[in-house]
Amino acid sequence: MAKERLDVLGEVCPIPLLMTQGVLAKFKNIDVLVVETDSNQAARNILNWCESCGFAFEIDDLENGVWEITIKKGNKCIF
Amino acid sequence: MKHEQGKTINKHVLIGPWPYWAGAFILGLLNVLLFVIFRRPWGVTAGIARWGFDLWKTLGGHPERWAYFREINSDILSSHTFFNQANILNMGLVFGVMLAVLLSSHFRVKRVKSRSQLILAIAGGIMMGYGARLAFGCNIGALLGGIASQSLHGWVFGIFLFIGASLGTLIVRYYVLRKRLP
Repeated sequence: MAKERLDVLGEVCPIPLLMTQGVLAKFKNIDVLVVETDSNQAARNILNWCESCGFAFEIDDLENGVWEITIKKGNKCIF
Repeated sequence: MKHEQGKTINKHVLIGPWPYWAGAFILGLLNVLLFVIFRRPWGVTAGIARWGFDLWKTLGGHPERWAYFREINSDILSSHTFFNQANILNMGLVFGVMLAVLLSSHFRVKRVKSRSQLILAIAGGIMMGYGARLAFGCNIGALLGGIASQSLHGWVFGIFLFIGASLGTLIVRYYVLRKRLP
């Protein structure tokens, strides 16, 4: 069970979503990816994408305008 | 229970996401109001060009001799430096966005992440600003205002915006997936 963090603080749309997709596509051994972003539109994009892929996810407000999204991809593979 | 309900409403109104039709409706209504009061469609970048005009003039340049300011944006020469329509709209925009982000408690000072991000942002800003002057407006002035006032240039702008945005997306995808992944 591989758990990794992805720090995309300071990145604007659509880079956080593209990086999340890219990391999960490249490192197939990752089951749980924790993405940290300060772009609310990006957080929304990532959640929508997780929903469309059927991944379980959690979102936490870390502080004002910072979100931590835990994507539980498991062994699902959509790429 | 009541508190919870209030919280949910608060969350939907302040944080969103608002449905697209609600945004479109409000935008349309405000645009009509603006047209009634200011007798012109909404624009953003002409007001920003105004700042550049004043800055360049303060530094000793002569932007009033430029064809663009003489022939196209000539009301710059006669209106007040700060209290002009374009500037009031832009200040209102910044104030409104600030209010929204503070009310939803999403305000945060974002750090510049890297030198390349800074360079890309400045280069992108210059290209967008220059392009908006050549096209007589941005997404708002040329696309929204142009199409709403039945001008052909709005549709032409829209077609090239679509092509440019598609190309831009491909470039960003390539850049992120090839160069940025760990």
